[in-house]
Amino acid sequence: MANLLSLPRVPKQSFYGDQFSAAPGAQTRVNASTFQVFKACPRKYLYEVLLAKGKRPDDPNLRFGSLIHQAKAIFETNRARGADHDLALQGAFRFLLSETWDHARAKPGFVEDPLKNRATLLRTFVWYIDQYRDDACETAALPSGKPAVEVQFEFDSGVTGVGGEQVTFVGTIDRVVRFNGALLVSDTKTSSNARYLTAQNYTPDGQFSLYVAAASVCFGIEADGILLDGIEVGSNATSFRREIVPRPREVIEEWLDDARVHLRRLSEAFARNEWPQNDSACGMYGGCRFRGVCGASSAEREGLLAKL
Amino acid sequence: MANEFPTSPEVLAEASAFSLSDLSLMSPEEMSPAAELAYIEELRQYRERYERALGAKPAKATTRRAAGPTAKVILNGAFGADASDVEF
Repeated sequence: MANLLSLPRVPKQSFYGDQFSAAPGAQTRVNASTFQVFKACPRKYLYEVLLAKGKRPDDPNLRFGSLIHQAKAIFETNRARGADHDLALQGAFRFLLSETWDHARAKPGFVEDPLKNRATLLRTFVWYIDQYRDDACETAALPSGKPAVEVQFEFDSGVTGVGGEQVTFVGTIDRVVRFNGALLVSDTKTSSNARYLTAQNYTPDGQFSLYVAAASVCFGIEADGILLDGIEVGSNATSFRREIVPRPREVIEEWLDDARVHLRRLSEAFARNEWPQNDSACGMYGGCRFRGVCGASSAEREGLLAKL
Repeated sequence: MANEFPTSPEVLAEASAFSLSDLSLMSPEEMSPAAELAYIEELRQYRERYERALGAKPAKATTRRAAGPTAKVILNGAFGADASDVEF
């Protein structure tokens, strides 16, 4: 079994480097989202992560979730600095107003999607922050004494790439909290459907397991699990649900052992330039966007990929 | 990331001078702290109206908050349209 605390933390200055710089072509700094893609299907990893195909940089779902995370971090930081609820909210709200304004055209931006847009974002954020106005959660402190908000991490996975390079896990933890006697990594998820916002949906889940492992390895915080703040966004209203997603230490250690196996496969995929299709995953999440590419003959694929 | 405290807010009384449509079309640069607060207050009032229309109790921070019956109401407030796709 992996010993979490024996894994060395990587110095912070390496956070901002090029993901693919340590060895030619090889990803040596692995985050939860790209790792999930590789585990689901190496071919999808090749198209989506390495070739950057099929991704919409302006995807309203991604942008909505990202802005909620960023605004929440501003709110929590403001609170930690002593601002009251409304003042902290106002600072975060101002950030959202600016981020969703089309400054070049001097008009509201982020308006294309009927569900994830400027109006629903501003409404959702105010309702969300107010929902937990008298929150029993307290932000935990890092060993440095700083509040555990928007905490970046990087730690050695224990796997060495085929080129001898160190393979690390990287990511950002939203917040670590104390809640009803438990120490929990807090994370917020938004969806238009509440059934994706349950503890069951995140058990197991690689991102949440990685965050709990990172809290232990990098900061000595032995979290009991994840506090999942689910935000269900509708066109006219937003609803909220909060659940604790348990992650016992044994589960985390098993996840880490398994993750090392997948990381070795990732490293081997780079070494051999082999990216097999996992055709049992094509129908997941409503169907892979690369289905048409993978289903075509190899002669047609380049043209199809170019259109994505 | 604009991670700064806002300047001191004006009194909320000023906020009542704005309607939601005005506020949503106002550029962030010309929006005063009072207007920001008015915008926030509009969204809060909309929530109150919405939850009142649903017959729901005011929201509180809970864990495993039970979902209520699916909303089947039509709202004709500032946001218009129906709320039949939202569960509370």
